[in-house]
Amino acid sequence: MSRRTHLLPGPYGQSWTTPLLLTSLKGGAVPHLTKETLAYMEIEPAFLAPAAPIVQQTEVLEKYQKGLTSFLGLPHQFSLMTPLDPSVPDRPGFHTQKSVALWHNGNKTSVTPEMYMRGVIAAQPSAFVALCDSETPVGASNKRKGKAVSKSLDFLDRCLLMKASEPRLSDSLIFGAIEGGYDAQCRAFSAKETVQRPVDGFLIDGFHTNGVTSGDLIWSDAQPLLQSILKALPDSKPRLYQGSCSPKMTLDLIEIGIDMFESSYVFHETEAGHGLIFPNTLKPVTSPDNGCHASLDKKVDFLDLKDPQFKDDFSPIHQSCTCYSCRKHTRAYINHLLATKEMLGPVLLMIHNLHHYQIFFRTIRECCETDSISALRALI
Amino acid sequence: RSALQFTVLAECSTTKARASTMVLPHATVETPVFMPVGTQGTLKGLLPDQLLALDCRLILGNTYHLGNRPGVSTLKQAGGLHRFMNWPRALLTDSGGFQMVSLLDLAQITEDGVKFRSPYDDSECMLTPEHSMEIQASIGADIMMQLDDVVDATHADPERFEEARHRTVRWLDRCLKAHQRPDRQNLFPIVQGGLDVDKRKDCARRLIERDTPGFAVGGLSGGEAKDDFWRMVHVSTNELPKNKPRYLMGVGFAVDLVVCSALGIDMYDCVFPTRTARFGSALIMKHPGALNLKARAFRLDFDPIDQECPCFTCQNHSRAYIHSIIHEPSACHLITVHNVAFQLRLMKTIRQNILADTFPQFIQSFMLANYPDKKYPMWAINALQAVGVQLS
Ligand SMILES: [Zn+2]
Ligand SMILES: [Zn+2]
Repeated sequence: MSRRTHLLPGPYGQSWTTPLLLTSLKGGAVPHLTKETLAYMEIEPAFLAPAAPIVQQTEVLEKYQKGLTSFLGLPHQFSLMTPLDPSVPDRPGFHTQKSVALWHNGNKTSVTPEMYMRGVIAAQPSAFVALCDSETPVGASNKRKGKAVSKSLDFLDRCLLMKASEPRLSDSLIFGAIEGGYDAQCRAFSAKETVQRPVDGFLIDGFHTNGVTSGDLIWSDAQPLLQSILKALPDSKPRLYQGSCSPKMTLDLIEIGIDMFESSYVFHETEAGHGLIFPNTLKPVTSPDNGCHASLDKKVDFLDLKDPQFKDDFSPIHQSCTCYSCRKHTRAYINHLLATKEMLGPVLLMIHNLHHYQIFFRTIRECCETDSISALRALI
Repeated sequence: RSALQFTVLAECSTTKARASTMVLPHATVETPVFMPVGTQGTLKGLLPDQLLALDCRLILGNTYHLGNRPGVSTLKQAGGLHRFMNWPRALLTDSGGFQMVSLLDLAQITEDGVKFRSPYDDSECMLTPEHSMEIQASIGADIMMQLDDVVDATHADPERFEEARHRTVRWLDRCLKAHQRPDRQNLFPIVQGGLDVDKRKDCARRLIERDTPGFAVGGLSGGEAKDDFWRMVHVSTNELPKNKPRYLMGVGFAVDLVVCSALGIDMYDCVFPTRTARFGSALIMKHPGALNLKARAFRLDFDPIDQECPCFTCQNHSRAYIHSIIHEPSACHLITVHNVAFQLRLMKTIRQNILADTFPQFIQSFMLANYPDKKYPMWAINALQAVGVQLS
């Protein structure tokens, strides 16, 4: 059974319906895109803003005064600030008792809850995840996992206190992170304690070490833990999951109760030169021409547009796609741009892939309303 | 019927500058014009629609690169480069010869053509005038260049120049013979002749006899002294007919564009504005000519790159923002948009001043803004003096 759609109160009087896709920023921009090229997108994205570039330039944002999305020139949309960049692999071993190491462009900043909140106040996001410790990879010791939980709760309490005394954050939502790695007891304790605090939502954290490998989550290991955590959380508050999610994993996570996702999957696929073609609507579409060599009965999520088989293929990435790239450009052109390592290649792929994934989420929301998610699942 | 109509609208009453329109199969181009370089069928990360938004009407592609990738077969199937890259406006292609000689160590010029070793499979290849025309025909550019015998302008051997000059004329005749569609594509010859006034003149005269729709001035903007450079431009434009466009290859610095427009040049191309954007350098109309947005000095600078620039970047973003994302590809895109806008705006300003017959005054104020200490480069003083403009 899929979870009912959930309205998130947004800034500027907007409301946001879940399951919601947040478009992940990288260092202060949607990867490969600018405000000008984002305007070619049909759907205005909501954003996930990793904290490292924010805390490393708190002073700049403080002087600027108008908040992060304004500084980045992004449309006034929902923005959520989060400690780690889900698209970048973690660098373990740099946290301390009092701080979490955040990296950006090879620069490490050891961030305390106080520094973090200074960044939050300067960035003025619609929502933020309290500073947390998610360094609990598969194989982490029990001590380390317990530590991640207690440290995250301590950091959460301090973030909550600072938020309460800061009028500029009165409209910002605060999310608490559920930690504890692959340990049922730690997870149960983290969930129970976090629920008791006045948070507006939850980040289900610490199941992977971010980066492209986050997509390799072993579902049989993670699923029972995820399920018990989500059962312990109140139904009325949104749950965010960060990390690369294939279409199938997205549906699996939605089914057990995740409400919010981010777009690092799209980023990794774009970097790999892939164009997404998985079914993203319920409408019966003419099956996308998967290229002359791919067999049509085999489900493929993407086309590898680097493949020379697309050299003279003058069809769009996906036949029925209405995105800018598919309306204006061909597989052959993108294949050429990737072969010559031209910057426009990832630009066109990012526009298509982001659009394709956004439409997927729109379909998911429609399916949640009509209780037809199983029909979508059957296509994936 | 020619695929180019060139109309001179105004001539500067002091300098040799002119403002014209050049009607091409895919666009009407207002000159003097700067052509941004889209080497491999794309302009450094910009969507064709972004170039349209900048009102860019003519861009350049490189025959050598396009002949390798995507190659003639793909270009033919796509219906030419315009369709392949979805660029509705005008294109100009070089002949491929210059790129080869400058990029490939082993390129060797014979009477037949440019012999080279393929960088892909090490096989021996030959770019002949006929082959260059074939590739350029598959690209379908509005303006094509003849294959010319390129010699570095600083080359010491005068005999080599003599050979190059004569061969360039012979190769032009072969290109003209191979040219299939004069109603859809224009072929420009290239004035060579090294740094010798008489040889330049002679080369120009012999090319003029062939009655082509326009002319390029080549073999410059290499390592030659600037005083030699401007003199050769001056000599060439003196010889070339007034009713046809003149294209100075490989020139794109702001000061050079202003001075060479005064010497009577109508068209320019250069990789500089887009290449420099990749290194975080944003062009400005005054001293010091560019801002290095990587510099920490811009961390708290919330002004746009240029207050007066109408480009999307300057209308929407601050120097501080671009500085903050300087390691992301997005920063390069933002600066590239601005730098292309900068070049187009400079050319538009030059043109408007020619039309209003205020070009000499514009040159003076432009040079002062770029050299506020009035330490003008000697070559620019000399070049401008030759066309009646004093820098004081
Ligand atoms: Zn598309
Ligand atoms: Zn600008």
